[in-house]
Amino acid sequence: QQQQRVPNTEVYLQGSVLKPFTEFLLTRLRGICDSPGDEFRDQESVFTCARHRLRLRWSLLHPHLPAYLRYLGIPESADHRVMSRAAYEVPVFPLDAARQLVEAMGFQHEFDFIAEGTVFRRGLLKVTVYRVRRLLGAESSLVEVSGLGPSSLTAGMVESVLSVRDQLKSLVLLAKHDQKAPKA
Amino acid sequence: MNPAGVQISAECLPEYTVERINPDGSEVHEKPPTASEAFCQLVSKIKFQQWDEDLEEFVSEVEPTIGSADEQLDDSNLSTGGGQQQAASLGPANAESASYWQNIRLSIAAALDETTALMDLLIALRQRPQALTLEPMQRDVEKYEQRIQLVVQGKKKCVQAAAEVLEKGRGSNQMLQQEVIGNFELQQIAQCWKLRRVANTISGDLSLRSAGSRYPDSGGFELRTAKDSSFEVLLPGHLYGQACVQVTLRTSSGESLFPQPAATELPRVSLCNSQRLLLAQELYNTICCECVQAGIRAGPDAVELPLAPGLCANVSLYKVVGPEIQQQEQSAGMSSKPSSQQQQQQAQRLPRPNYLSNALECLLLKRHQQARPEPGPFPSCAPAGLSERRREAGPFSRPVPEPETGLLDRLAAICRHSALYREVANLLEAWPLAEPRLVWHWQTGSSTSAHVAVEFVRRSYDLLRSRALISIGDRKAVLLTTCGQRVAARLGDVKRLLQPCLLREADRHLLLCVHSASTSLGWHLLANSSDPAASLLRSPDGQCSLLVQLDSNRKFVVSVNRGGNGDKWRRVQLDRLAGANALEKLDHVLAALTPLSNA
Repeated sequence: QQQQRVPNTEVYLQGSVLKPFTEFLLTRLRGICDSPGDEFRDQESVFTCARHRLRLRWSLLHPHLPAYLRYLGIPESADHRVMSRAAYEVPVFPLDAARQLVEAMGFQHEFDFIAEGTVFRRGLLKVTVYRVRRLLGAESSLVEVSGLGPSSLTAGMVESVLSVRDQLKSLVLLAKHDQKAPKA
Repeated sequence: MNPAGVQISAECLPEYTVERINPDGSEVHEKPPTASEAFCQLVSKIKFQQWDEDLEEFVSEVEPTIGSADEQLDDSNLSTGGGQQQAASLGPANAESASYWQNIRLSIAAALDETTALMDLLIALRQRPQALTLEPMQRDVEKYEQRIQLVVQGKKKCVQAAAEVLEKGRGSNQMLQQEVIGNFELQQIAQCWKLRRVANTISGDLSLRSAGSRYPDSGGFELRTAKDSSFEVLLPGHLYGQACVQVTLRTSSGESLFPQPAATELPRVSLCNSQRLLLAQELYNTICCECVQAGIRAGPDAVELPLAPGLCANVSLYKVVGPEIQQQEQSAGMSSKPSSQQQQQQAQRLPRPNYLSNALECLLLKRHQQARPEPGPFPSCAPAGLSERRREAGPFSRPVPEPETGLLDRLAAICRHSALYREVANLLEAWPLAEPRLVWHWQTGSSTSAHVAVEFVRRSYDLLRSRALISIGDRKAVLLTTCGQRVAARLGDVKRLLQPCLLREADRHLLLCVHSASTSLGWHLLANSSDPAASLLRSPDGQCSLLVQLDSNRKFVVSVNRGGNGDKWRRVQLDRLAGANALEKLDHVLAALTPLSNA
């Protein structure tokens, strides 16, 4: 029962939108989501050990808030319409101690990136439109619709994600993408 | 796209029929007939019946030679023991040999035909030269005309095909333009309102749910495509109109504390006004709910809130909904004279919202804002909402929110503050004294707090000023003087309590002016009293004393005692002295009594 309550499954879809159409997408999202959209600027450090990755992410705009240590599993194809993966998140504070802990566990720092954009909320779902510095070009933004919850709510979250995908279909194509496991 | 600038190529039928098309795209045309083939065709059309007699003679002469040739051929075949056997010995065996000899026979027969025809021609030329004349070969007229017609029809078909293509393009262009116009209008509407496609219709949302409102009315409307591909808005009946909530303050005698603005608005139908109608309904419903909970009687379109004895706030809902607006819109365009309907509807005009109405709307919108979800999550990967456990426990737990006051309480506070504000303003504007003058500066902190700084000044060249501060809250107005005196007054008691205090401050300021003038001439202040206001001054040489008093009518009473004798006080008649006001006259008195050595 406890496992049913712990959020351990993430259902998500990803897409991209070009810079000239980003404003249209944000306007549409303001209409269909509960929150009007909040700007965020996060930095994420990725640590690797053997074939496992840990991600440490913190907000650059709100440094007083805790950072989150995340483990993201391999994408599974339980439902052919969306992607799902195991996801575990733990708030950690302070940041330096968390970094030292991860390195003490044997993980090595692999790379950093900065994600900057807008996040919307719709119930348990989050819709993020953001740019990743140093990886993508400056002319397009990543769009991600994700929902994190216990495995018992996965079916409902899948339907919610697909509903948001259908409402954004004319502006951005959210689809499954093949992602290979990181090499050792 | 300019159709005149489009080039379309039209292909006509080829001159020769296409026999086959090679893989590389090149065409193989049917070869025209050779000269011999054409000659054979012509010959086949020549009738040789007229010259049967001559032909028979010629044939009788020639036939034996031809027949002998055939017999020779047959004999040679027989002599060799069978043509077949000979053929078999001369050429390839079996079926191939038969076809081989057949081909040879056919070619010989063709040559024989040509030769025979030539011979016939020579005979004809020899026997009857006049019957045969050589004329240039004529084309088949019918076939030529048919071919021309075919070519023309072919070209017509090609041009027709091109015309159909152009027609389709023009039609699709028109549709595209209309679609673009319609999409542009749709985009403009979508920029301001939330739209979504439901089945084959486009529906919109007028409610303030995205701002945090929880009013059950969804405020939905529909967009329908009109005949000219533009969009028309379909509103539900109860949202077709305009409304506003007006808050007024009235005394027990029915007098309004704030003057009502004379200008009014004609109700108009638009999405903005429909949204304001929805907001006004929600606002009034919220007020009514809280009135019922507080035990206050609420009507369908007006509510009276008691604020203080003799003062109440009236919250009214003005609404113009329904087909009356439609009639008004129609009649406004038809005639310039006001019709009877317009005159009836003038009573339904909406008043302009005043400060209290705007404040009430802001209260509701603030409540919506508080009901909105919290910003974030930060970082963006954090869960969308915290669980209850996390919200309450740990170092990042949120404080317990304070119980919020209702809309009615806040409105009552704003109304009381407005009434207090009005009373203090009236008090300052009705200052009874000419000297000293009163100068005040307002500072508004919020809808329930304000401050006013009061200064007492003289109509003269000196810069001497006395100050006082009046703080206006939602329950009382507090006067604070420079000497530390603090007087508080509730609603209705402002004039009764604050005005005497201000008058006393004015007296003190006058005496302060006297002190200042006397000090500059070297006089000494012996005693000072605020109530009654009086000051005792002594001249620099000590020979003269001056008593300055203010009577109940705020007039100076000046008495002089010369020679240090405390019993004989002589009153100075200020009326006979020159001067614009009492203080200037007093200046003259001081100057006259000051010994020359000190002047």
